[in-house]
Amino acid sequence: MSDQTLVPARRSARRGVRIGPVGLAVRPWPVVATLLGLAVLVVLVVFSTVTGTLDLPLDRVWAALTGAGTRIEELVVLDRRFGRAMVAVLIGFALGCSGGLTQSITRNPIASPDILGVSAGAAATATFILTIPGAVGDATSASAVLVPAALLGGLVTTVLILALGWRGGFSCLRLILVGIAVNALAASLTTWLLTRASLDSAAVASRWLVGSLDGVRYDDLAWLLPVVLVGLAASLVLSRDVAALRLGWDIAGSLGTPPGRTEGLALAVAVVLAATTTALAGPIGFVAFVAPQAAMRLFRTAGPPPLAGGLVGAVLLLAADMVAQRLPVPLPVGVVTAVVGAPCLLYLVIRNTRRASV
Amino acid sequence: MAACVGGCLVLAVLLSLALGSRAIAPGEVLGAIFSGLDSDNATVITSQRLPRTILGLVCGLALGMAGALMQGHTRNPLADPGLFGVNGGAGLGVAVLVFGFGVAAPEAIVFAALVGAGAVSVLVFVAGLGALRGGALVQLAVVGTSVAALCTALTSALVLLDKQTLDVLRFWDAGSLAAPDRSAWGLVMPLMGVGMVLALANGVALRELALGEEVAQALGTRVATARVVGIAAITLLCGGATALCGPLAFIGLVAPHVVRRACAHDYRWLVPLAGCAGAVLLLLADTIGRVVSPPGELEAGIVMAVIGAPVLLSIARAKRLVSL
Repeated sequence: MSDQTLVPARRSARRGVRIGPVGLAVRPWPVVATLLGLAVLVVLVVFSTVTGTLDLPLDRVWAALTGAGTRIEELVVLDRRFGRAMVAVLIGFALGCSGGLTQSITRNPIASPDILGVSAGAAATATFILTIPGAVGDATSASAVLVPAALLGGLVTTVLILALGWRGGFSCLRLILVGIAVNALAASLTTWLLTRASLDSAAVASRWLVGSLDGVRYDDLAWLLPVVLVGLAASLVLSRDVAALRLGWDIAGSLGTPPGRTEGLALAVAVVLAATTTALAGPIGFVAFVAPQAAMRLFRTAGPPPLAGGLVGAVLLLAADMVAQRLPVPLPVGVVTAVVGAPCLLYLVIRNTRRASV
Repeated sequence: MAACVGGCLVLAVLLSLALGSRAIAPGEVLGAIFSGLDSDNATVITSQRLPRTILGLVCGLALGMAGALMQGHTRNPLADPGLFGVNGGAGLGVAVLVFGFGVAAPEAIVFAALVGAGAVSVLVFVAGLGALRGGALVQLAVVGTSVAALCTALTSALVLLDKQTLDVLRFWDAGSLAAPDRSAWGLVMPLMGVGMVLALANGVALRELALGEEVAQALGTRVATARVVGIAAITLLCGGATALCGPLAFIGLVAPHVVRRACAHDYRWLVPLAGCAGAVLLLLADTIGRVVSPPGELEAGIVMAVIGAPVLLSIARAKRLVSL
């Protein structure tokens, strides 16, 4: 090869390795950031397993974890603390991942599953189920009814929003406005259901409507784990196509990815992830929106990354739940995420406004 | 055109008085009000329906005017005190007061609602005027809905901690004219009256402001004063309406659009006419809610969402999103 005839190579800021004709950019930062994120996650899980209102010494916690503790110790450590932490991690991952997917395919930082109506639709159908007397027997079998209902509600709402937002193509702007309108309809349906219900089921439903991990049990991991694994696998498979889609519909096509198929698949995965978490823990606001945006900045990627968004979402939700539980009056985690997330959204919107682009 | 809107208003008032779980003939309605007719139906009208109709009239006027003011100041066709969280802010103010201080006196509730509404409308104005300079439209809608979401989340947190508050607020949340408590009327209605006068006066400045801030200034409008008067009027109108009948969305969005499509673009006329259209809408929504599911009632806020969401959809689906 006549390297000398080419334009003198600029010193690239990006290091790489080159073996024969194959070149590969080495980007150490995402690896470092992933390891750091995992480390923070592990520290948080350990902390929330070890500490709590019941003062257990370290060796008793270890005994409970290895199966040598008393029943009460096992109940507290395994079910209440470790189980809850795991649920928070998985739900946070699902939300962050789902947000990363929707934000990537719409190329819009504001298009989280909340705006696309998944949560509101899922919440409306789940409230419908919750307020029918006798439909939800005991707490252990609730998920078996709630999860399919919420999935159905989330899917129907999203399809409705996409259908109404379609005018020979999707404009992000139009999609958001249609989302606001349909969300308002779903919310008023939920309010109506609440006024019709008995006070007891209204109390249950409105506690659930803020998004809380209180009602989530160890057994619910059986629902959550497969869904999160599917999300993880799908994000891995789709990550290259989704990244190409960020460059725009036409460019993605010319890079060899079928853009329509990628959008459809990614959207379906995002809806399943978000609706399942809504069914189990209620609509936990703003995590799906904040996590991918934070991940994009922390991992220094070009767009909101689904997998890294999931990692950040897990850290965020676990931390928010620990804060919510340790307040003088325990609050549902959805309140904490809203208080943290809404200002982030405002900041992002106002900053975007200065750049005069959506 | 004004006569047409006025006619609709009279019709809506009559319908609101005549229809309900028991329909009463219009002649008897008029007789009960004007000639002191004495019958069972007359008692129903004067003791049950008349206060409710007055409440709907005042709150509808207030919300319609507030919507026109918000759309005029932010020059955003999507502005609505309900969607943009002003009503939510008022609700949060009330919840904080009831939960935090255990006070449920009408004066305190009105004050809390006004403070909440004022804080949010200032925030929306700041964000909205910023968005105006950036030339973007949707940002304000997103800011508004996320402020509304924040207020709702905080309100529900307070509600969750206390079952008694939930029992009160779950009905109040839906937005209804059926509020039985009339003790706050004497305090709120004069405040809303002041708000309406301010709004009407503000319409003159808005007409100039619609040409842009610089042009308005060159024409002799005091821009800063006009903005402050606008915020004060919106706060009084929305805070008052929310304190009386809960957070009602969509009236402030739909009413100005109806008036604009029908007749007026001049804000001097648009503000009062949007008020009348708002009153018509709220009274109709309330009447529909009373008739549609006997023996129960559908709250006016829920009926308004069913009427208003399609209007928002049609604005969103328009070929070109126009800035005002």
